[in-house]
This record gives sequence, C-alpha cells and structure tokens, in this order.
Amino acid sequence: MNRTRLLLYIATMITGVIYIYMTWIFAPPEATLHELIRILFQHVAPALTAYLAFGVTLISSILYLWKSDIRYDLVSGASIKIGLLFTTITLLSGMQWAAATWGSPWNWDPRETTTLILWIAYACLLVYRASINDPEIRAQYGSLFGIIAFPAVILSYLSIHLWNTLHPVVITPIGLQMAVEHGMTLGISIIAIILLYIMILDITYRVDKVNEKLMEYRMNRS
Amino acid sequence: MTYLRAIMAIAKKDIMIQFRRPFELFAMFLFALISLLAFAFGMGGDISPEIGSAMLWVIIFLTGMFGFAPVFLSEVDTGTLKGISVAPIPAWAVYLGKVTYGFFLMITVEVFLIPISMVLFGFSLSFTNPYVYATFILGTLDLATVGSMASALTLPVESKATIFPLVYFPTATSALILLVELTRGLVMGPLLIGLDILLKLVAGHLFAMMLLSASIFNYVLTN
Amino acid sequence: MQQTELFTVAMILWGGILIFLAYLLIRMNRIENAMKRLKIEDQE
Repeated sequence: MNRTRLLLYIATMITGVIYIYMTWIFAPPEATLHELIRILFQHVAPALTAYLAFGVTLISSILYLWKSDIRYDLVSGASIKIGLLFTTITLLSGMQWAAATWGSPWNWDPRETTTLILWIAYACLLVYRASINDPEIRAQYGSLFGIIAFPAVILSYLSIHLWNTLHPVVITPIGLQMAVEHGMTLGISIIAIILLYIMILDITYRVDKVNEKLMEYRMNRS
Repeated sequence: MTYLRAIMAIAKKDIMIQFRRPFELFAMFLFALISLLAFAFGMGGDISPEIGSAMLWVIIFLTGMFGFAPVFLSEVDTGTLKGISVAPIPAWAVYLGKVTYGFFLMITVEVFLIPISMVLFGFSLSFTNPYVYATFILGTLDLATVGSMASALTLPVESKATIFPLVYFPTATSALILLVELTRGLVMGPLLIGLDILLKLVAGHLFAMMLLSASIFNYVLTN
Repeated sequence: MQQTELFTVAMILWGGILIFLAYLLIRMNRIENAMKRLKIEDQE
C-alpha cells in the first residue's frame, strides 16, 4: 500500500468520525426545524460533492480529448458512478426533508426537477459508455458526451436563482445564513464527504483499471 | 457563399431521397399522432389549453427522439459516410446540411400536427402573431441541431435505436423546458418573464448548441 | 416521528456509500477470479 494512499484513508476515517460526532451530538437543535436540522448536514455536502464529481468528469473528458491518455477516461468513468451515487443520496435525503417540512416528498420544485434531470442525464451517459465495446472509441465519444452533459449541473446549481422555489438558499454571497455551530458542522461535513469521494474515486479507478487489463487480456487471447 | 451552397447540396440530397420514398416522414407523422392519442387517453379527454399547448411540445420532443435518429445513421447504412468525410466540404457544413434536413422533416410534420393538436387539445395559437412563427421555427431548429448531434454521437454504439434517446435527452430537455414555457405564454397571455427574453434564451441555446455540435462533429468526422 | 426520519436519512447516506463499496468489492473479486482462471488456462 502506498504511503500517501494510507494517509488519505486515515484522514478520511478521522474526518468521517468527527463528521458523525458533530452531526449527531455537537450540533444543537435549530429554533424552527428542531432536530430536523441534522438532515441538512447529510444533504448539502453530498449535493456539492456530486457537482464536484461531475466537474471532475468534465475536466478529465477535456484532458482526454487533449492528451488522449486512456487514464483520464478511466477517471472520468469512475467519477460518473460516484457522482450518481451522491446525486441519489441527495435526492433521497432531500425527499425525506421535503416530506418533513413541506408535507410531501416530491413537489416538482425547480431544484428537485433539475436535479432529477441531472441524475437522468448522467445515467444516460453511463449507459451510453457501457454500450460501446472498443475502449478507445468509448473514451473518445464518452468524453464528448461528458462535456455535453455538464450544462445539466449548471442548471441544477442555478435553479434556485432562476425560478421561484421553495428550496432554501443556504450559501449566499454574504455568508452562511445559520448559527456558528451549524456552519462549523456543515464545513466539516463538506470536507468529510469530499475526502470520502476522493477515496472512493481512487478505489473505483483502480478496479476499473484492472478490469480494463482483464478485457485487454481476453482480447489478445481470442 | 460556397459554404451555403455546400450546406444546401447536402440537405437537398437527403430531401430528394426522402421525397422518392417518403415513408420516414409518414412514420414520424404517425408516431406524433400515436403519442397525441396516448396523451389524450392519459388525461381522460379533459384537457385545459395550458396543458394542451405544453403537450404539443412534448409530442414534438418525442417525435424528434424517433425521427432524428436516422439523420446520420442512414449514411452508415448506405455506406456513404466515408464519401462525405473525404469530400472537399468542411465538416461543419456537412453538419449544418444535416440539421437543415432534420429541420425540414420536423417542420413538415408540424405543419400538419399543430392544427390537429389545436383542434383535439382545444387551444388556439394566432397565426398572425410573428412570435408563434419565431417560436416554432427556432424551437424546431434547436431540436434538429441537438438531434443531429445525438445522431452523430450514436454512430459507434451497438444498439443504436435504444441508445439514441439517451443522447438526445440531456441536451434537448433544457430546450423543451424553455419552449413549453414560451408556448404557454403564447396561449395563456403574458407571463412573469417576457416572451422576448424567453425567445432570446432559446436563440442563445440554439447558438451554443450549434457551436458545440459543429465542433463535436468536426472531431467525429476527422477521426 | 422525527426519529424515524433522521434514521432514514442516516441510512440513505451511509447505506448508499456502503452499498457502493460492497459493489466495488464484489466487482474486484470477480475480476480477480477471472484473471486467475485465464492464467491457469494459459499455463495448461
């Protein structure tokens, strides 16, 4: 095991434990939401990390088209999967929160709709990539699609500013609209989930790389 | 000027083929009618003008999902894509020719589809209003742009008919949202956002998609 | 009432991540087995 990798895993574990402690014990109940504020720490961080994951897909797609190194494509493909995982978590935890505060889990609110579009767009990309057999062609066309799909992220991110929405705006240019303890917990939650993302990305990348080697091996034999 | 002639030549070739055997056009029109009926069943016959006008764009969107797929794929079937890629025409001109062809297909279907759906869904669009023409021409051109790009991206895929909608969806949905909003404004009267701004947004989307798809197509054809 | 919701959200987050890690583990296992099988076949 690599030294930096070991350090990354240990850091992820430690921040993960701090994150759980701060979410469930450290953060005090909020004035209007009471205990439900704890959902926030498990909703915002996965959402931002999902945007980050799709951003990584975009950047590595561009890098692939520029450098044509297959490793960038592996990163891009791995990041799509993890981005989808975090988008799913965001949607489901958001539905729980909506059920508790707005009365029903799904209201076709612009934020919900655009995030669902985001999920479908990247799921389409995943299926599209899986439908091409040749790894070289998959990398080329998948990278093109990876660039085209990114506007869905921008749409989802900006949706609360473009339309009238019920979704609360937490992060404003003036600063965080919440108590200091909650702000600290939110910050830790974002750091913890991003570290977790990097760790899972690393593992997925390595699994995909071995898988690619296996496919190559099979190709050469037949 | 020479480029314009090249674009028109590409489009004309496809349109002539289409007129010789217009089954594709008929298939698109019938598909539009089928989805119109399906929506009417789904809503139980009681359709408000607001929903009806939005449904019109959903039908056009779905018909595009069905109709734009063969725009490039037919070249693969007949084996003429190689010929196009070595012809002395820039790739983006080929692409724009294909967009023109897709636009022609769709607008021909719409000429029949819009009056029929106006009668069946019970909403009215005034044909003296220039905004109506602008909406449908820009909207159809936008969908044709996206559809041709999706068709180019489906070239290396195994089961093309299944995968095409997946490529079409992510880029076409943003246009669909805008167009539904725009048509709602045309049917129901002024909205919160002015029609001008929405039209400009559609035009901006069209321009961005055209630029993006032309560069993508350039890449596809040269590799 | 609130406790069930909080519990569900925690399950969604950590359960989702654990399911993904389990998926990776199963996939890795399958790849390794396939690799081993191919190598044994080649040696024979």
